[in-house]
Amino acid sequence: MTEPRLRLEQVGKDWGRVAALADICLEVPRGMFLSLLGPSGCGKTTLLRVITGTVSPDRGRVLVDGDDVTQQPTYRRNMGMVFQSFALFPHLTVADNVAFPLRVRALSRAERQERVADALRMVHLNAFAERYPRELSGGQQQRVGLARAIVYRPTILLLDEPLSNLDTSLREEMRLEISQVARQLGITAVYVTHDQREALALSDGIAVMNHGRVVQFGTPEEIYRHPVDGFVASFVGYANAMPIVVAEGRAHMEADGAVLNVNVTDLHGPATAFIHASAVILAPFDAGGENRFTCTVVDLGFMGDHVEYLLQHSAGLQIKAHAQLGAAIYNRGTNVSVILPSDKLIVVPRATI
Amino acid sequence: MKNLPATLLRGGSILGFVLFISLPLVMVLLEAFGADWFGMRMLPAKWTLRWFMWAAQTVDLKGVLTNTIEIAVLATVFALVLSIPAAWAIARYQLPLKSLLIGAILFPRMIPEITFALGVARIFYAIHLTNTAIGIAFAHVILAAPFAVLVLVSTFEGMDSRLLEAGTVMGCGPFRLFWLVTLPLALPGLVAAALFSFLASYNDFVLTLMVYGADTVTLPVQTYLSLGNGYLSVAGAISTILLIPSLLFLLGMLRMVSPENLVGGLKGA
Repeated sequence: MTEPRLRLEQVGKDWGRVAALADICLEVPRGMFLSLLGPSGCGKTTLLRVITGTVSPDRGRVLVDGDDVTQQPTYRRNMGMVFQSFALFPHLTVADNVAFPLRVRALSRAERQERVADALRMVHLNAFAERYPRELSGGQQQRVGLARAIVYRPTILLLDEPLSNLDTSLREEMRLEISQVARQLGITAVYVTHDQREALALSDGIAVMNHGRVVQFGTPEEIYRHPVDGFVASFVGYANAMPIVVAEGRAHMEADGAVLNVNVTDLHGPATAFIHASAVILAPFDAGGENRFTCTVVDLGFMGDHVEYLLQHSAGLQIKAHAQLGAAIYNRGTNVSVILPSDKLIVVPRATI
Repeated sequence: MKNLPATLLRGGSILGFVLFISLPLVMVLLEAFGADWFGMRMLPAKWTLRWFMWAAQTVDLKGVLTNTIEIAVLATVFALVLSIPAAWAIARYQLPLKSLLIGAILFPRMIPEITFALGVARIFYAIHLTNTAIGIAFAHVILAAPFAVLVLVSTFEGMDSRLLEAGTVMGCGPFRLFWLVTLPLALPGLVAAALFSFLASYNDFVLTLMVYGADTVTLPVQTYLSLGNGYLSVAGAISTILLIPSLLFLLGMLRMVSPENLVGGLKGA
């Protein structure tokens, strides 16, 4: 069996009395693009810094290719890092920024030039080699940051929310750029983000984190289709959460006791049913079907390719729905039938506090 | 012009301010280059370089200039050696009573220089440091260090710690990180601190007066001595020479670093 490129064994870190990281165990095989997904303060950036070595863990071990590097200083670890703030050296040109790690590694001038040119070509910035960072746009600066992080073929590429400082319009472009570069190099990457769409689109594996723990680790599809708990479900974009009570294999809406037709084997007691806004079906008021609820349209917004609805159920529940363009449009105040298809509903147990 | 009176008022006040500052300077220059300037005349009757020749004959100009520069260079080095670690600690670490510390460092600039000078003179006489370049340079550190610390604190505070982290991740050990990242980032601030320190020492009169001796006459002191001998125009000529490096530095400084950087440090880019 080959060693995973990166293995974290029961890594823990405390900030004062608060556990920033608690018992983190992860294995990242060679070539995997892993995302650490979680809200701010969940410990994902701290975990990234444990991997680079700028934060030393209070407990546990960090292994790279089977070697324990927990005590190794950052500068010996041969990691590559892309920063949210770009962190380019303002006193160096683009080419010199990218050449920096090669200079530190004492490569010959000729080899430096060749590798810098390759890296800049990879991020489509070869025409900007002699510019200074301040003369570039945010997107271009981040591409320099990416080129600088991969030019010395680091063991692991770490990316700390690299798209957060970019305009929305640039993010998708940059995301594709990162994906292409990482795949082209076959590099092992750890990507920190709070944006579930970025994580789903980029990753081979996602570790969802909350309160310093990895709550769920799986492929994007697993995470999306089978979130293990309410936190993961709402974090990966399940917009509708409906409290239910499961008794004798049947689910009842907590709001009004109505039966919700959904698979609840192995479950008992309070739970939450989640459904994506895009999976909710709107039908005329008198339509039939399973899991049908009568709601009033509170608000709607035309979003171009879909229409967003906010619906109010008589029992006080609010439901969000996205209707594809071309479907009938219901105005504010109309009563409609809201259908929650049972195969699109997921149910997770709810912790009773 | 939309609003002529306001424009006139604005232009007039700027002109007035410039005149107010530069008039004494103009008087010195007129004194240094003019001859037969008596009574109520606006300008000297004749222009001459006579006073510079007199200055060269009556005073060891070369020696005085060498003294002044030697002391200023020493004071600059001492001030930097002292203020770099202090400023780094103040800027990069959580220190208790940080504002009190900065206050203590600025204190010498807030009290009358003559008060400090008396104390310094008392110590120097006791340990025989008067009339030595090193001694005077040490005394000047009191004047130079507060400026240097202020400039450097703001330089170091403005230094992005993520750049240092980036350097470390890319393979810089502590020593190389300093040479390749920290030092280049701090360079504009270091240059500004050095220039301020140099000028603080180069221009100083009061402290020097209390501890100078026959071998350590500096330009400001020589100006005063020539004045005391009754040669107003020779004093003017010497202070004109005294002025040259200050003006050169000022020009160079304004070209190299913008005034905002001098005050605000090097923030970010």
